[in-house]
Amino acid sequence: MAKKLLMAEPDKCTGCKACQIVCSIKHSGVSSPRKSRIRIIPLGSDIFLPVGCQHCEEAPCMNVCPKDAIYLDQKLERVMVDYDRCVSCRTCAAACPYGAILFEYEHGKIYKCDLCDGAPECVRFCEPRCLKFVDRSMLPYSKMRGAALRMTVGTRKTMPE
Amino acid sequence: MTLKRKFARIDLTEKKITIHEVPRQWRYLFLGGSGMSAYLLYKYMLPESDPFSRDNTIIISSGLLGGSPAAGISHAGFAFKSPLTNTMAYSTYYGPLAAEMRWAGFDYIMIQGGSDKPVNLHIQDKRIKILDAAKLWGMNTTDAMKQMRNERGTFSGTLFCTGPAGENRVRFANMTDERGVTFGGAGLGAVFGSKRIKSVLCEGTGTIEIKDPEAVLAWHRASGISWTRKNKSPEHGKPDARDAGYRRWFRESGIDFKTGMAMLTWSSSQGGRIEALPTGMAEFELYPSGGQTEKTNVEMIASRKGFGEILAGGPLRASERLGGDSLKYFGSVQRLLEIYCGENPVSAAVDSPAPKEPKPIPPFPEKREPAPGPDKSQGDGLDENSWVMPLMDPVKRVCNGLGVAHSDIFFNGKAGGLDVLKELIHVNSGLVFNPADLMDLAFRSDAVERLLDIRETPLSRGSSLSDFCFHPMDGSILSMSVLQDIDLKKYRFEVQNHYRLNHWDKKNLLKLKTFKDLRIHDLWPHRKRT
Repeated sequence: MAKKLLMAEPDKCTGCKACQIVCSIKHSGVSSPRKSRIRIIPLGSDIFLPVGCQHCEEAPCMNVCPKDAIYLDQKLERVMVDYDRCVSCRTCAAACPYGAILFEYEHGKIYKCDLCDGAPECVRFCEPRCLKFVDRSMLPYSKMRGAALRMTVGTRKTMPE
Repeated sequence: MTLKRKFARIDLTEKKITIHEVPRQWRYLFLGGSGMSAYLLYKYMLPESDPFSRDNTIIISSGLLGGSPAAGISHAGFAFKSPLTNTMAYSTYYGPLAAEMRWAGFDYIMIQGGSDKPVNLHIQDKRIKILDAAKLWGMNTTDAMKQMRNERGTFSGTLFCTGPAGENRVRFANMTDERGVTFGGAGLGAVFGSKRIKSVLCEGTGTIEIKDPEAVLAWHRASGISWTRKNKSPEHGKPDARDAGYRRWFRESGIDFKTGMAMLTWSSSQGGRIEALPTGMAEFELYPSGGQTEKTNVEMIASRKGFGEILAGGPLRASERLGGDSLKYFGSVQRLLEIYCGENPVSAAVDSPAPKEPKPIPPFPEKREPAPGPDKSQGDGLDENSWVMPLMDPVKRVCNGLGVAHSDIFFNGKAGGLDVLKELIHVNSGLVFNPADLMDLAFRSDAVERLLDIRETPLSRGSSLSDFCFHPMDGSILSMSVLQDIDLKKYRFEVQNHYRLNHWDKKNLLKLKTFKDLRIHDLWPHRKRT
């Protein structure tokens, strides 16, 4: 099965936080910005950047874990946590360059994006279609399409998909 | 979703904040939205308040769907007495504020009184602080919000503020947030400015409990619910290329773009009148010619200098200074109606573009009993024989109560009816309604808004809408008939007649029996100043 990636187009993000809401409801049973695995980072003015686990191929979190509790799920090619092995040392959280591994003090556990078993809720509920779950081969597609449109039609906007 | 949210009352005069539980009764009477806000204004705002006085009240409501999976289309609402129209205005603000308020633990925030010194309001996790804003007063919106963020060192939460226009009480001053989204063009910025509030920051990190989370998500997936809010609109999302220049100047000054632009365009036609006005106006460029000139014009309105002082009052008040027939050069009657009726829910009875005849208004029933026949609670249809016929389509009204726009919400590609909305309400909040309950709720929301407008516009002869087309002081008819082929005399008569014949006028509505029938008899003592 072709690997799918969760990608974000920041220029479409309106900062509504629907993704954070449904992620927290899905994984924690409550609506709470602190319990979401995806975070909207405002960069000032009107720019918002959704940030979450990138499921790196050479994941730093996997490399530093002293208990080998972080592994690559081959089926969906996603980085996962084995909670039977995890001792909550949070070294993975320190190693992650994206800050995508979070620690829940209430239960003393780390948590991160798990791609919702292949059907990410954040993608389903993203109204501006900023978040997409696409085949890796299609990753640059919208940019290619946008460039093609600019060269031919001459518009700066991408057409609706 | 939990309904255990709070109602905060901020008294800026006394610097006192009290926090109460939101009574469950309110949810069943109104859900939320403009109906609930009208109820609160009727109850807590002194009758016939001057919009710029400390008696004016601002209600911020989160909407029942704030923090729910419908976050993409949910909005917060701002209700206040508008300095432009002298009636209730209800402004919707799309973005994360509704969710942030509910995460912070609040469903309603009421701001009363006024501060002697400029302040910022900070709402965070069950607490509200009133902070000094002296350093920010006088700054444009962009600089003010940038400085606030630099001082805080964080970009969390939702921040919005007013600009120089609001501080100087330009009657169509609005509020702006960090995304560049503006809202409250009926003078919300001016009301905030009159209370000396520069900005509001709302940060919520709390939790909204959900009884059955999987059921909520599953329902949203299965319902085929989708929404179409255009995120590229400068008003509701990310600014587009047009934002460079024009809109940025308006936004930073705190002036509502649509009204301000209409005023500038109109002013260019007033050449002869300008020459007759006192000196000091000469520096105002009458015809926008691009670049620095337009920016100067915008700044003049915001600072109320020169000709800007006249325009700052809005079209009707400006026309008093320029001569009554000056309004015939205004862009269109339609535009005037949009300016003065755009944020008045009662005006939903009259669509834009301006109709040649008033839209039929259903009668306010003496006895409210269900009419026999098929269920008329689906979609947009209004049955003239139905016992309850609100001014606004009941589906739109229920959506308003939920804090979403009806035009944005679809179920499997079709607009939803009350039967679908009752499920949406139940799955997200646990509240149980049947379609008849929702019709009743919609009717009550219309009625309380109408009662509020009747109370607040003493010059009205039963129609707040018709007064917008006429001199606000002595009721004389303005000569606008050359613009459209609307006979304003006839229009005004027919609108007033409509309200009267269908019992929506003051004489028929202002009875204790009516208040009891609507289950809002606690508002009866507040019907007039004592």
